[in-house]
Amino acid sequence: MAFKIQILSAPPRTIEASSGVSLSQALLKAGFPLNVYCGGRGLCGKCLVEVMEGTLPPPDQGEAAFLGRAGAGPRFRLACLLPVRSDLVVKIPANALLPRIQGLTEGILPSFEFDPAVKKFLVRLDPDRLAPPLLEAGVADLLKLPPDDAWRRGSWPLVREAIRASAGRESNVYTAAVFEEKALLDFSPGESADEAFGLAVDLGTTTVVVELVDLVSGRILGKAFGLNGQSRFGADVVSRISHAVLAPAHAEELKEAALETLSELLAKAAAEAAIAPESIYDIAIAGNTAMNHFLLGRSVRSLSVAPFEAEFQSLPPLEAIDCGFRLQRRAKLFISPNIGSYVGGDITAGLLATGLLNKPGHNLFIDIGTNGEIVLKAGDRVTAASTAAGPAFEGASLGCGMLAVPGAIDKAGWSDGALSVSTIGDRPPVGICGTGYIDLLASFLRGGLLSRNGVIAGGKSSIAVAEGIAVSQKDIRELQLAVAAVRTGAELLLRRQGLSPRDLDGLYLAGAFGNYLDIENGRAIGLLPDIDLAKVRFVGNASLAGARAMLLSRRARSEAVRIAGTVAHVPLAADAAFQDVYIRSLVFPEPTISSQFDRKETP
Amino acid sequence: MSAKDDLLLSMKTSVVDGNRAESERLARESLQAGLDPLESIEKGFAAGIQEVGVLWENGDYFLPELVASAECMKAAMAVLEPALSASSRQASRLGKAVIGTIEGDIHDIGKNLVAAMLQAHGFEVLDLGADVKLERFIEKAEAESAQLICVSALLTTTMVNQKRLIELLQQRNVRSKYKVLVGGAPVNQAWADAIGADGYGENALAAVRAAKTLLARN
Repeated sequence: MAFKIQILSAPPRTIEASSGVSLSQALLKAGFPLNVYCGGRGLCGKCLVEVMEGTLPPPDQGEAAFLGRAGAGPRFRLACLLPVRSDLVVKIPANALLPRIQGLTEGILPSFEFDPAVKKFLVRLDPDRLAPPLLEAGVADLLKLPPDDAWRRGSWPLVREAIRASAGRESNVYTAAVFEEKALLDFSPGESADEAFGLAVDLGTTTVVVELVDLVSGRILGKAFGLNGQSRFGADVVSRISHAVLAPAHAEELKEAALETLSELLAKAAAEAAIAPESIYDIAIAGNTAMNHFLLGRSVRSLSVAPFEAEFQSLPPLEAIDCGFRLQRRAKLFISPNIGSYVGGDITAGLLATGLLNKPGHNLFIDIGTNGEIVLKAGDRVTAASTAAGPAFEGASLGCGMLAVPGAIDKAGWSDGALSVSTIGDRPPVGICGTGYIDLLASFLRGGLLSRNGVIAGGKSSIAVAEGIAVSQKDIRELQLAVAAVRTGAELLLRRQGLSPRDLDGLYLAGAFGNYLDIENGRAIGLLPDIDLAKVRFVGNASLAGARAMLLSRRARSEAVRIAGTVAHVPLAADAAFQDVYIRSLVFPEPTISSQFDRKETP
Repeated sequence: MSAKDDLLLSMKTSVVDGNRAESERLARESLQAGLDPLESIEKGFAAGIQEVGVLWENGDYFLPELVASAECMKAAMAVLEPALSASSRQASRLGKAVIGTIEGDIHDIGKNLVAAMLQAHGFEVLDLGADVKLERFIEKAEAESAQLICVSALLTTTMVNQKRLIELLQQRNVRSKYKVLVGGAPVNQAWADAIGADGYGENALAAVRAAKTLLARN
């Protein structure tokens, strides 16, 4: 028999529910974003709703305790403990709604239900009812934890210790931190269920970003970023790997350097949010395969030589303390799973955050850095490759190259027949950063200053850009190599699936560089495939967004594991067509149909 | 200009332009016209390759042009080589090289370019491919009586195997029989000196120059 449930909160609507199901199940089934933090087990009290009309059975003792503590009126009930026995009219307060996981640009992040791996609950221990020897089983029952071996060995001693330490206290309220509804991480006297925090980490080869996230509300409370301390052992992944394989002490140095950077940044983020590191219970890290190996102290020998294999793909959650983190004593650590040796957990996180695998049609994901990682989702097939773009886009190895910092020329184009440039911070130009070089190359091509095969017109050895700043023939050769590497990767992945850029339904550009890139210019020099501008989306730091999702949703974790296992890693160098495509890609593309609609000025 | 000079100039131009079909056609035409194939190679096609080298040094030519000209040379040689007399064949060859990407490394574009340019400049080249075991370099060089061993490494993690190859040559007491040429993105002259290699090429044409210099010393 079915009953009608009228929801008064916006947007008002009426749903149906069969007799006897809980109100929370009925609401969730209808797609209503109700916060069932504890999984609908009556532990957290977050699904408090107001029932305006309908038959209400009396609350049981546990629910009554919650209602009393919340000071809720007689019409308030926990939706997860309320069976539907009549038609109902309910009002759902805003704080009973599921927290939103802050993702990428609106509309891009697939929604994962808020369901962090670590949750905190209040527990009321009634000394009369829970006298030994019933106490042990009784507490397990209160927390809805199975009274198994893990409970007896790991969790119960925490409870016993806390009760002993708080003997003589008046209050009998404790706070429990529960991991994956399986084990206790913490059990302490008092009410601290709101103090549960986690870290989302983008562990990049060059830059590291740490975000402090509230595991109860899902809000981002603090953020810190800095350079990876491993940089002193080599600028790129391969040079760090070769440093590590030389001696065990070197591998230890790299691990320590990463930990040092992370500790510094997490302290900064925690201080910003005025939070003690001891209340951080969980970390989710998105890093490339080598970064993951270094951090966990795994050997990178197999990453250093052909056939280039990772030691692991996905790992179960680890103990943060074993990995060298000083947070809450039993804090957990989740590593975003690796796809392959040179396509790592950072890309898995990026794919998770963009939902690439669930998009209809053919879609390409490009993350341009020192390594340009490219992922193609073509129908049901998902393939990924890493291309050695080299440091050119980060300004290294070029005559006037520099990082994207104030004073760097970051934009260029033709204006009233003259080449005009702008700099970061509107400072006098001191050099050129990656996006600046891309704009300049495209402008040179449009203005006839550069031939398609990369020769500066008029037999000159360089093109002046601003006072004391020029692009030399040698710089152009370096840039041609970098562009060709990325272009070859995209073309080969497309070709292997029998596709051309025209067949793409979407192109997702990730990474800091991607955010500032001029698409038309990127396309004009061949860095981006020949695709309609309307199909291109910038997704920003998708790795960090993915790490955040893994911190706040257990389904995001299992989805990440699935992604890493689904995506096929393609070693491009072994492709028979690689050399041919690479050599051809060194020539700048011919102006194409789509680029005829470029809005760019020419001289 | 005689008809012969005309033809030789066309051969040279076809290589400089990277026009493979034209090079092949001219090679056939030269045989029909009764030209000495050795002269066609040296004064026609190889002269083109020399010119490409100059354009490369000037920065006018880059890898696509280099590859195209090597393809022209290869096509012309395929036509002309069978027509060479034994002595001419000997004269047309600068030496014999084994070449490969070192054990543990699979990146072989650079190695392929060096192989193509060595061939275009008149070396006989045995390309062993990528991820070549150290022993195999030596076995092949011994079996083929090569004078030159060219070893490429594209990663800082694999270049150490170039050093091991030289050590292995020493252990086998055959080091003095060969000139060892190293190359690859992370490799430089200092590394070549440090591991006791005989030469280093920063790019494909520099490798050819180094190879010519090394074998001329013999």
